[in-house]
Amino acid sequence: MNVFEWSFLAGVLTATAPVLLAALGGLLCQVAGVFNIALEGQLLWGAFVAVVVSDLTGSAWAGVAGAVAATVLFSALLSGPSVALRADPIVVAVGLNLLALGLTAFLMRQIFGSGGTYSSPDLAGLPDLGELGLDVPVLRDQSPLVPVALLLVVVLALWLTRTRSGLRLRAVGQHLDAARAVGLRVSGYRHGVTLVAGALCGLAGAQLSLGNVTLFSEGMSAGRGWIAVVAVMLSGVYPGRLLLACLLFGMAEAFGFRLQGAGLPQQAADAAPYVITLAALVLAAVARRRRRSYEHA
Amino acid sequence: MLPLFLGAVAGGLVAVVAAPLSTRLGLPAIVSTLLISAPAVSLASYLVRFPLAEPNTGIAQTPPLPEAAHLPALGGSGYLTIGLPLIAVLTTLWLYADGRTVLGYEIRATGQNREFARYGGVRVDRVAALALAGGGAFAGLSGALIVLGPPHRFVDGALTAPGYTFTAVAAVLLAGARPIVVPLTVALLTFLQVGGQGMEREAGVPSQLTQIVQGLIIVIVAVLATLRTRRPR
Repeated sequence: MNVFEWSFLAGVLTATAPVLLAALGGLLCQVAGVFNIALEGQLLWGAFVAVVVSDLTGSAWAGVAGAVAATVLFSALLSGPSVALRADPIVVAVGLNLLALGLTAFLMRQIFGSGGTYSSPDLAGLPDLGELGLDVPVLRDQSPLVPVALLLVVVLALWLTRTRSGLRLRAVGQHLDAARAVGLRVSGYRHGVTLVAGALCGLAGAQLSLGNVTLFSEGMSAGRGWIAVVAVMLSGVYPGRLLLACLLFGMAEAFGFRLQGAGLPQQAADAAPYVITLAALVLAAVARRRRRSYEHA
Repeated sequence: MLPLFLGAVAGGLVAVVAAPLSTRLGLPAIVSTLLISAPAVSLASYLVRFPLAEPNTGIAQTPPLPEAAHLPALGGSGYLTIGLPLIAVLTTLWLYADGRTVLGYEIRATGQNREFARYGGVRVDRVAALALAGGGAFAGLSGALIVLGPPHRFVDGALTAPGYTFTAVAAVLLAGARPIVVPLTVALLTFLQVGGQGMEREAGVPSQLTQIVQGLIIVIVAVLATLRTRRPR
């Protein structure tokens, strides 16, 4: 295999990582029966806080920690109203996405003095795995959060199928009354997953603004949170499927970059992930229908 | 009138693509329409940058439209066109259709209880598709109204950057399935937005505060709505 293809694979992983991290959070919420479409806003918020903290402290890892903490706080704005007060999670999430957009743009002007895009030599990005001694082709230029994301897929899959608490979480999502009847604290589980999803979105944001690039620009989440929502809906309760869905998206984005390099307009690259996601949705539905018709035959 | 009509048709066609995603695949409309919108925005952006761009300027905008295609202006300010009274008339028609026609009843019934509506003989998937197409047509019409009014050309990003769409979604969520309230919530949010821009010009208050306030209003109203329904119990 030549260098061209290795670099393409690396590009796929880079594009996949933030979406996958956010989608893992979304999947947890889905398993527990919480519909979380605030991923986009949380991703953006995480990316912003990561850059602010990294810029202030000069440490990328402080940036990651700050992003995780701040996004957990932000996700409490979803879990509080929607789990404790039983407000419509979709409405709350739309409000939060708007809030994240406004808050990041506003604070950016207050902290950095201008809008648009911020990057500076003071801003510490995450180190490459190559610098940390892992000099393997595809992983060389990735941030350490990329293998963390892949590992989390396995951890989540094992947790959901092999542990007591994981199975209980699935019970909460599958049959609320049954879960309540055996004495599970349903709202506790739901608060928990929403906050953990916030932490994962914080990681996703930090990967986006300190791993993929080292800068913050307004609205830089650019629909990745929404793609993550769709990936979650495609995968049910199966983290393995989620990985495939996110890889598909990563491939579309990396392929879009290639197209742009080949002289196609930028708009084709922008649209590629959405078109591929739509195609995947339709194919998945057709496959499901065919399977169903076999079962009936 | 023809460009307005075609704008509405084009908007409706884009939205109707999202219908099977919602009715057959069970994607919530807010996700399916977003997935459809992104490529549509990219396509429009491509068209206005390359095939339809104003030659020799390098700006992503179309050449100005011919005088005959401009919407007739109202008053002397140059900002007001017949678009505003047209929207008022359409709002009235829409309120009538919602409250007093069979289609409006079917749409309401489908929204409130899909299975019950189906049981009652409503073809719910068709009603959902019609509602989505109608929504798209209204959106297409507002796009056409903006482009045919000043500055009489399509400028890339001029329709998406001000956040018209999410303001509209927010207004509808605030109104909470009470159509008569929609014009009020729209007015509230646009006053906030325009006022925010004014505050930025006059008092140096950043206009991004508007989005923050809008987001908070939506969350607060969502919480208040649950308190209102819970109190009787």
